[in-house]
Amino acid sequence: MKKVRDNFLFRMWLMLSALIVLALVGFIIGYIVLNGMKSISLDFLLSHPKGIPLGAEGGILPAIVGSLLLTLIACASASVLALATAVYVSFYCQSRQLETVVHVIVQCMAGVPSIVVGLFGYTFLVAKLNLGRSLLSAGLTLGVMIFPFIEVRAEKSLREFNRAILQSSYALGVSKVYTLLKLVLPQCKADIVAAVTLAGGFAMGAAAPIILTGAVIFAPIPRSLSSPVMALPFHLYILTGEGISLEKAYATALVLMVLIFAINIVSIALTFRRKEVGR
Amino acid sequence: MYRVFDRVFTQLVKILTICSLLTLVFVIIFIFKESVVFFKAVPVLRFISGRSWNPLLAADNLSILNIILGTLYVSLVAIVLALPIGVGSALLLAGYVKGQLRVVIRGIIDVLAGIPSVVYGFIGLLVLVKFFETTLGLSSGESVLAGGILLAVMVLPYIISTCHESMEKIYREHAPSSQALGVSRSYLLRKIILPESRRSILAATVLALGRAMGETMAVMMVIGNAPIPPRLFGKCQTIPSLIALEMGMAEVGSLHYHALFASGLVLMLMLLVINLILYFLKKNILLQ
Amino acid sequence: MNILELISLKAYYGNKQVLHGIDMVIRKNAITAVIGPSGCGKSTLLLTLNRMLEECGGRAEGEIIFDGKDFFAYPKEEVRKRIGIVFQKPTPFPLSIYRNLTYAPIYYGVRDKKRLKQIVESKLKVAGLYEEVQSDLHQSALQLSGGQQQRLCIARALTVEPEILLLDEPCSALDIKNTANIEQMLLRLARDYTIVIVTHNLAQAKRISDYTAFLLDGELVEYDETAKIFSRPEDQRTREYIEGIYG
Repeated sequence: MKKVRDNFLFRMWLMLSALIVLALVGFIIGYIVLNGMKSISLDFLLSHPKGIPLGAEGGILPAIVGSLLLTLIACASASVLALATAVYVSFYCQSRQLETVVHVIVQCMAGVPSIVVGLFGYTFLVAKLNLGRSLLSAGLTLGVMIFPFIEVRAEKSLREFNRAILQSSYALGVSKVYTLLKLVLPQCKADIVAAVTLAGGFAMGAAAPIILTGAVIFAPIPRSLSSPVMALPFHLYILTGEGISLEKAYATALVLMVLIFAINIVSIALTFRRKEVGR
Repeated sequence: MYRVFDRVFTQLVKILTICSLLTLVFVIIFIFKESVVFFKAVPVLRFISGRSWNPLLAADNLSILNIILGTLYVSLVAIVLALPIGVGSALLLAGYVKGQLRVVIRGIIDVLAGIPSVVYGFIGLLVLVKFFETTLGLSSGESVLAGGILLAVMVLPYIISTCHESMEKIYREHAPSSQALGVSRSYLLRKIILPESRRSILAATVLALGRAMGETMAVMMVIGNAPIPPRLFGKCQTIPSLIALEMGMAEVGSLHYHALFASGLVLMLMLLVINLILYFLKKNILLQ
Repeated sequence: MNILELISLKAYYGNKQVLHGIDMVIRKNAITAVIGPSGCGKSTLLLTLNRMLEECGGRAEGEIIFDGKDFFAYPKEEVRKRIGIVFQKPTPFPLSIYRNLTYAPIYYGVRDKKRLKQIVESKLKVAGLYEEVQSDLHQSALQLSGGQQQRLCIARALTVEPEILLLDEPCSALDIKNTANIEQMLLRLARDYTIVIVTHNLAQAKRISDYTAFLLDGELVEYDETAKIFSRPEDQRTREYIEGIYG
């Protein structure tokens, strides 16, 4: 009865692995939410860090604002460039070789670990270009990090557009640009926005690239692009690493996760939204 | 009317594309250049085969074999733990879960991918490391194993989604004819779907390995960061954590600074090889 | 009167030659049918005449005189505007019916709402679709049936006021009723437009066309008035092809 036993073991394996995965998700979320809820309050969200060492009391308002600004800069800088590249590769590029070169470069960049991107940002943006540890340096570094992510998804979406419909549009004597703006982009808009928001989620959660390029232990809400910023992931790292306050750390982790999930939910909603016909 | 606009738009797209490609190439060359300076002082082979890392001593003491081994060890532990669980879940999803439920479960798994690595590190430190110390009675819970387990959780969603996509496709192809033969579903999964998706399992492994080796924050918080030969229950150091920890201390332009770039380059080359393998695997999967 | 004159026209995909020197004239305000077995180069011929061959990765050689001037010297946008094409499979844009039809006119600079509405209505009427869709011009074109979609595509091709309309097996995916609809429409259109239709269906060629060209392996075997081709073909191969299908 080897067969029956094998089948049984096989099923056990599948059930067990799925159970482990679901248990892990449940545990991680439950752990952060339950512990974080205890020390979160409106005051925590809306006030500056206080106490000795700094952060032991008070709130995380500058970190929340800082993280949002960093994400915004990263998304803005990366998405313009990534979209242009995706459009170029899928609509204008005539040579297969050039296409492969672009893909290899983008893949290489996707393979560069975030800390090495941070290292680049530190040396080039902060030191050589003299931008200092600032909102701008950190935002751009994050932008470099999420560029490949956006490019790959945007290109995939553009390429999935029905070729026959493109041909029909060109056959009317209409230009590529008009076709792109009136037919293709309206169709791919949801996918592209979803890719950008998802990338924004990554940028917001990333600590490694900003340790050296702009995130600091304490700063007020940034006034300009050249001021240093607080960021949620870095703040969480400092609170735990330096053993400042466990309660505040739980609460910070919860805020960070809620923000990222909010972004992800927007992205998922966009992906699933039926593409309505415009009038 | 549209003619002028067309031309401007087209040129804009081209210029922006050139900008982004130049930026990417520049980043890559920049890192390369900053590392090469170090290799003028210390030969490459010496750098990757020596076992001591002490930036306060002479240049000869900057070598990263232990750190490379640490990086590989932690990542391999992660893969070994994550692969069976990931493949099992993907099979279950492809074969047994249908419709809405599948979308929901995929969403839940994607949640894992969305959690920032600092949060993983935080939980790792408070739960895993503490568990090792209190329950298992180790003197220090910060270890290769802690890093490996944490990384395993982090790479799970990547493994599951890569495997699941191709398994689902294969399942849809073969399920009708297999059902027609009256064969049980688990037999189909075991005899056809699993062997047929070995390529995508390989691709998932490579992808996960790349993720694991490049991960910084989570790993850094639970491995103890000591550049000693790694043991499963001992502390170790990985290249990303080395860079993250020491970059702030190294003066720009010093040998220490260039050594950090050099280790970044070594990591990138390892990842590059891994990513190129993945690129070609993907191409082959599409060709199939 | 001749609107198009093809002189030793050749077409290639990479190294593969698909058309081996076609010489023929297309007469104005007539329906010309192009028949022949699959892979004989019928579709390639149409793509060449609309300058779409380049977009599909091919290239053309030889000479074409269009309206008294060198065809290849025109900007390709102008050629495509003046020579419309409708493909085998209906390709409605994923927009509303109304916006499918205003898509090209807006590009060519028509901004006036009234004028646009007028274009939409007149072209829908020409395509015999107006009665069926007038109640909801803003519904998605994708919700139309296959036959309606194809008529919409023909109407769309007409919105840029082409002189010649090329049709690549426009009825092959449709049932008899829709086919009949489209055939009647083409007969109506022939008063104002020059029509070149590629078809598999010999009965269809016989029913609607004034001239018929028989293509085989990228060569023009015979080209004459339809009645003559179907009753007294001169070439052995034409006779075999026509009889083979009939008998």
